[in-house]
Amino acid sequence: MSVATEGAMVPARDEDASLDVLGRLSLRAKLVVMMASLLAAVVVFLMVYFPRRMELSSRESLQRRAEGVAVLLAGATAPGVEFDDANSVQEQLDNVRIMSEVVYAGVRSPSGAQLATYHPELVPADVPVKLTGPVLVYVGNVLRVDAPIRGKSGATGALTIGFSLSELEREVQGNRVTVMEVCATLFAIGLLVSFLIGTLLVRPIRRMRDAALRIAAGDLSQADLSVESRDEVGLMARAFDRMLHSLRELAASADRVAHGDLVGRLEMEGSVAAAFNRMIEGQRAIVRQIGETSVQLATAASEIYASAQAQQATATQQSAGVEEASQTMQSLLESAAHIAESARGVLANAERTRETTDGMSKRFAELTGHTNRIAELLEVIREIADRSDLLALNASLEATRAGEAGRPFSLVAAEMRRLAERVTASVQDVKSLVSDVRAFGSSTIMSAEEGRRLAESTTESARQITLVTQQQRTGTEQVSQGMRDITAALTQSVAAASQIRASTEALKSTADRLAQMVGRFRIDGSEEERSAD
Amino acid sequence: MVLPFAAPRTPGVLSWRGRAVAVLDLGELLPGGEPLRAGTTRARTLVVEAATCTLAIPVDVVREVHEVGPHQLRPAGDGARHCTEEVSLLEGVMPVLDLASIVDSVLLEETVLS
Repeated sequence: MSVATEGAMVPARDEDASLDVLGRLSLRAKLVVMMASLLAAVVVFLMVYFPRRMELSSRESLQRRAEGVAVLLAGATAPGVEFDDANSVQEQLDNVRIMSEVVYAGVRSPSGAQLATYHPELVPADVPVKLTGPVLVYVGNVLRVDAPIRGKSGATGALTIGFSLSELEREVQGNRVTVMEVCATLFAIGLLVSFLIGTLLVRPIRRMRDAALRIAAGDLSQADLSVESRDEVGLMARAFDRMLHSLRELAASADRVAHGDLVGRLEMEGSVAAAFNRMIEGQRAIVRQIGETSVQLATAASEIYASAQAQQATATQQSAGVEEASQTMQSLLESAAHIAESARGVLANAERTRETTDGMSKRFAELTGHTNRIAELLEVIREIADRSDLLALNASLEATRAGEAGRPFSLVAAEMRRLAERVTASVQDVKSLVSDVRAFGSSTIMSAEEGRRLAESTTESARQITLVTQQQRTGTEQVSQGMRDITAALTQSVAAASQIRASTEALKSTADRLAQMVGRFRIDGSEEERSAD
Repeated sequence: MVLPFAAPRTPGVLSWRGRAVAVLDLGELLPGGEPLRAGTTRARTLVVEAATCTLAIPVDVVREVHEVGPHQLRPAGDGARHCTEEVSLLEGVMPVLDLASIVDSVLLEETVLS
């Protein structure tokens, strides 16, 4: 595909190049070149074809003349020729002298001997004698004619005449010179005429070009071209004049528009006029809009001014608030430091509490061991008391069985039984007391355990509090940094608001000036031109 | 040890000095008493001979051992079952349990049951 495209494009490019070379030439030069090429063709034709033709025809006529002369001479000589009488032949030959172009002449007898010669040194020796008709031979710069001569005896001799070709050469040269002169004249006249015609053709076009250049430079004040000729150039010049008029009208309208008169309307046809009218209408609309917008702009500028003032006041207040917040943050930071200190104290206390509770638990475990031992001892005492009671009972049984003699023994046994019962009762009391102690101990251990757990959780909480306080401290520092940033931003904001206020004042005055400028435009036909107030 | 098919008042026997002694459960008889359950006994066991029987009576506490003459006995006022007489001691008036009548009633019941 691309190859085909390139193949198609290359010749077109060449054509373009040749067209480009042609396009650079002026119109007059083009005309002259065209004429010169035409004349050159004619001259080449004349120079090449015409002299050759002339030479050929001259040569032909020379041949015919030579032939005629030879035949005539042979015929004229024949009756009187006696090949024995060389003098008569010589006389005949001498007649040839009058012809300037004859270089030499000679007559031979049938035996080949020279009878008579004219310029005998030039006559060639190898001429054939037996001839039936005239024979033409070119030898160098000489045309030789051999013709048969019949003698009185009936024998045939030969007449040889040499014609010079220098005459012919001179003629041809003369012809060539003539042709060259004619060609040169023709060429010169043709060039002159084409130059004149070109000048006549080009002059109005040049004027138009100059006018168009001045128009392009923005000068419409020039006079009309006023070309009177009725050819295409003249028509073009008149059309150009009309274009100039239209442009002047357009320029006048544009001038009115430039002076602020947007009322009128261009009474012309065509797309340019329509576009111009649309432009004026658009400008009217734009001016109207700009007027309204400038009023709105002034209002908006006032509002912005008020807002900027309010913003400045707010920013100042905010700045004070941020300052307060910053101080609060500082005190918060100090509080966090206090809390961290307290949390460290709490941590130490909780550690101590845990250790104390651990010791207490250990001692209570020992106490539980002791109470268990006491309970065992009490059991032993109770068993002993029980056995004592039983023994005393049996003793009293035995004493009863012994009758009156056993009565004191019975009293002792009864007393012993009472003692055993009291011991049993006391053991019971001590047992309940020990049980109370044990219960108290176990509840104390539980409490200690609870206390230990509490201490541990307190430790954990204190650690967390320390951690959280640290985090809070970091956070608070960040917030403080943020507060400082906010303060800086607020300061900038105050500065910006003040700048906005100044800018808005400038904007308002600009909007007022804009409204004044817009007021200079006339956009309504019924309305008088407003004064610039 | 517990005897199968024994009456509630004599639930089993007790080994005492190589003899099997019948156990009399007073908890069944006295007001507010709890009957003995199998495999349990009370703090003290009285081994008594009454009439022709040797009986083991499990009791909670043995208060006193007194020798009481027949003249000290007098008929009980309310006359509860098996307590037809009472005795006046230092601690107060005590009802006297008539073991013979209890044994009789047990034997009678056993006879009726068989």
